[in-house]
Amino acid sequence: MSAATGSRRGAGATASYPAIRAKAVESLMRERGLVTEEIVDAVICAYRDEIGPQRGARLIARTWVDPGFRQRLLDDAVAAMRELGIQGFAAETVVAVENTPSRHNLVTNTLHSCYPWALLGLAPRWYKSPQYRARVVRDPRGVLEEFGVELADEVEVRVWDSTAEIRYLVIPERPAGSERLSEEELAALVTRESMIGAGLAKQPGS
Amino acid sequence: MADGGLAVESGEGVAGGAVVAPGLNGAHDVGGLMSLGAIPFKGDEPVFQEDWEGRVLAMCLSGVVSGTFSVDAHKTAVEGMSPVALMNTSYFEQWLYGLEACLVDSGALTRSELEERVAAVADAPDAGLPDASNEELTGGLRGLLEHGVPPTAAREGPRFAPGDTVATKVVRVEPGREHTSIPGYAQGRRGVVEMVHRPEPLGDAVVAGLGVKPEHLCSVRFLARDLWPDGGARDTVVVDLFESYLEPAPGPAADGPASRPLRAEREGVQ
Repeated sequence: MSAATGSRRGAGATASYPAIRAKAVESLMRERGLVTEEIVDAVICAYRDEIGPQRGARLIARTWVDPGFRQRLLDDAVAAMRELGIQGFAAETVVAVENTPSRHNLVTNTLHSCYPWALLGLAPRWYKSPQYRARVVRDPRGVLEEFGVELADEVEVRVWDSTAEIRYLVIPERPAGSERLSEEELAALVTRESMIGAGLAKQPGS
Repeated sequence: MADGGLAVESGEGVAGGAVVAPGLNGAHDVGGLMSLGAIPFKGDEPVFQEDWEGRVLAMCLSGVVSGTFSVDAHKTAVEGMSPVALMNTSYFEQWLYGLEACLVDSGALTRSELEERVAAVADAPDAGLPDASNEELTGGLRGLLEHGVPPTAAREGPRFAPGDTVATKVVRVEPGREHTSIPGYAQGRRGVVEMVHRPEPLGDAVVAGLGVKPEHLCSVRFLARDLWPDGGARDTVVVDLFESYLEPAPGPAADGPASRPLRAEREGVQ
């Protein structure tokens, strides 16, 4: 039995067409030694249960309370991530970009949907959609309005199109009124959207 | 050779022109298209909507770790889906399509074996899966999840430096270059190098069967108004480009006050 899925069976009684095809591929790959039950379990458990935006949120909270760490994250994000024990697949080359009163950063991959999995988990559906990928490089302000973010005209919006292996992490601005919060409470204000640049960090008490 | 052994056209003569556009190299090349409709929003949704999605992800990673196909080959396979299919299928349906194509292209399966097995599973969808163990492969996959992909060694130093003005070339997908990672909207433009990164294998060369050609990736910054007729006056777009997509373009920088380097901004230089 598989811990990840509770079943070695896969497709199930009312299987969809992709489920049937996926099961056929899996049975052939298993026969050829190209995939194993342990591999399926390891991948599903990793991305469903273990890895998610809370990792990135811890980094952001640390940058808000520790200016030295913030600088280290900006200078060499992978080394700074390792200080917090964060590393792994799809976060081998990470660049942190900070939001300031004069610049707002927003991340995409117009060609595919590369995303820093080891930092934020798997990407949300909207990020992977052709609609987001198409519009964000051309009308980032319109996209931000749809996410409830309005920026002054004087702010530069910088869109990062991560078309290759580099992954970007946006450091959202620390919300006002958060001065007395602990690092753990600050991390709870950091949303996944804010680390992509499609949102701002939450206000305390919201 | 800087071009990775692949034919490229110079970007001279098309800088700022209308020759290049979104969709140049396939339906996946969507940057700048305004006709695709509303961005789908969802609240919290499960990481895997259905069980098979996680299994497909595992199989794709396992295919790469086993050396059966490369990440670039898988991307190229997905790019080869029909435009209608690309717009109408989910992310993991696309990954499944790419997985099948890569397994067949690599010779790991034949198309008829696959279709026979699909028919067999459709007839008996609750049947069990074959037992399989492969400690070396499982260990390799765990290593990939934990540590990521090992770095690529450089063969040469970087050709460009932050602050260099560059022109992007016209790069078309064609026989001999089945894949590229320079979007249509970014071709034939002038920009400024924002950052230079460690080398990665040029995807175009990997897919063309030319092996690993390491090139330093350059984050190139463009003014939005140079990319789009309706580009925001203060806005910028930064695209990660391999060296062979770029040429030096000395001359006045295509830059305004919106494009000061990040370091100057952090140090408070006005």
